[in-house]
Amino acid sequence: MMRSFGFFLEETFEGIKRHSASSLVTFLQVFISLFFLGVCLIFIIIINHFVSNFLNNMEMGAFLSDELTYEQSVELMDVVENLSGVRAVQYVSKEEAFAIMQQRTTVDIADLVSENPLPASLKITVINPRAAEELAGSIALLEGVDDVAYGEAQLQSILPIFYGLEMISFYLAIFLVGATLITIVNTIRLAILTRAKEIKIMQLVGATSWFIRFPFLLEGLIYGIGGAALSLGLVAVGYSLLMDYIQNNYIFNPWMVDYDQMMANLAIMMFVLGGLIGVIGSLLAVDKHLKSDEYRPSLKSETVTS
Amino acid sequence: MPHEPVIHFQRVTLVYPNLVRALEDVELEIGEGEFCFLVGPTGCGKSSLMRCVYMSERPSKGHLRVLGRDITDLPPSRVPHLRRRLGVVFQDFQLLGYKTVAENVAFSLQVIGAPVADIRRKVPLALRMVGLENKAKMRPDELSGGEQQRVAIARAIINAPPILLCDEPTGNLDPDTSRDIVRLLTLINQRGTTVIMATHDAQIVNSFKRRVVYIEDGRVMWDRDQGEYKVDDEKLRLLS
Ligand SMILES: Nc1ncnc2c1ncn2[C@@H]1O[C@H](COP(=O)(O)OP(=O)(O)OP(=O)(O)O)[C@@H](O)[C@H]1O
Ligand SMILES: [Mg+2]
Repeated sequence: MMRSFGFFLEETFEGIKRHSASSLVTFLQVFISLFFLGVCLIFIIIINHFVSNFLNNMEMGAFLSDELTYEQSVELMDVVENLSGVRAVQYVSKEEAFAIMQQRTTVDIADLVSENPLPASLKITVINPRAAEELAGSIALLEGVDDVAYGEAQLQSILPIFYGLEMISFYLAIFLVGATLITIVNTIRLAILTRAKEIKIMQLVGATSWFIRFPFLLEGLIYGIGGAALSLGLVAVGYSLLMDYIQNNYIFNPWMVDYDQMMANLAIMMFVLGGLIGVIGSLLAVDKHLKSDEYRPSLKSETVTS
Repeated sequence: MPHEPVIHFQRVTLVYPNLVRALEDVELEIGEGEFCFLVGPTGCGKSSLMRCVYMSERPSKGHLRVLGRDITDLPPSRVPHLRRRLGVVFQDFQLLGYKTVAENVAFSLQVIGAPVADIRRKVPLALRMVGLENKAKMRPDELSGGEQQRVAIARAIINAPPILLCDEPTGNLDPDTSRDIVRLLTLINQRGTTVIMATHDAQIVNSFKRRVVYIEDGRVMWDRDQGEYKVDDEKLRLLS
């Protein structure tokens, strides 16, 4: 089979050449579909990343009153640690709080304030984010705790929206995969029609069905992989522009997944999906044709050659 | 040791999906190295008989043995391998217009995965056999009908098949060219290939003096060595 690879390539390109208009249209359609698929996938990846980060690391800050001594703070830590729903507690001193703040921003905050305004706090990791509100209430009642904050509290309520968006992206992705598949099936069907005579001759002289299928598989693969590569390029450019924009306009950026990691994930998904859609699409089309007259090359004298 | 026939129809009946009975209880043996004309009125079942041999149709009843093997229930995956041992030629040549003569012939080797060296060696041999060695680079539409049929024959014999099936190979050709084509077929036959040729051409049949199998309504009516075939008989039968 492999020594015929050159022959397959020639046949494939000869075939594409003969229905070049529909090949081009298909290529563009696959490209556009896969581009939107890429956008959907990015969306899904970001939401997933964000939601899982949020859920796994939901932290609560219990800000301690400045009068509390270190020993009292340690006692308080023990109390909090034993509350149900608490996974871990960590003491953050005033100095540490300041350092963390400084780390998170590009502005030198030491220039802005004369003395450290940040209180010491307990950083509490919760087991179940859904029960966070109740837990926050009981911690706030403890002596020595000035205030409890969990900045992500509001996010808790918009979590269903994220899930909804993720769902929509997912269904949209499935729809796009289906649409791409149908496009490829139709085009390969056309390719088969323009090569009906070759197929008949091949069957007649004893080509195996895999040999007959192969040029069409290759054609489907070219659409799938080619479309994936092109749309991946476009998505990559778009995403990096978006990243730049966000980095230049917002100091905090908890939303974005690391660019390289995102592109690596996306490339794998797009190429696998594109390739699979191409191969499955052409297999569907060719099998339908071969089944319809399996090894029945009805070369009748009515079909006079030009 | 008695030779087994290369083709053996054992009470074969072929019924098409539309219930046309194309072959009816056909009993026919064709031995190795024979040259056999298949004659009969239009629609009598000549093409159908050949289609059974190259497995474009399967007998509805009876058994068919080809090259020492019962192919009645041959699994589809084995069909290509049977076909590699058969050459088939049609009235309408079935050439690819965008390929040269040599490429058309090479195509049948390429699609069965033959090594390039094999193809390089065999194509010129086959073209020389049919007398087209000087037209290898031409395209089919630059050739006469007889020459196009020679290309089709070269393609059919390139793998030196033991059996060559020709369905009205001279149907589109004038009498002189037809004679040349049949002469070529007898040459191929002399090298050991069993040749079966369906035809309406009484002149050809009668001048070459080979075995003649006469079919009517899907039945073998008579079968003679060095037979004669009178179209008048056929017409009379059809009129009555
Ligand atoms: N694919 C098919 N489906 C249904 N009926 C068919 C099919 N092919 C042939 N027939 C019918 O079977 C009968 C035999 O046809 P066949 O083509 O074998 O005749 P033939 O002897 O080759 O005729 P001709 O001399 O005109 O080529 C005819 O009645 C024809 O209409
Ligand atoms: Mg016929």
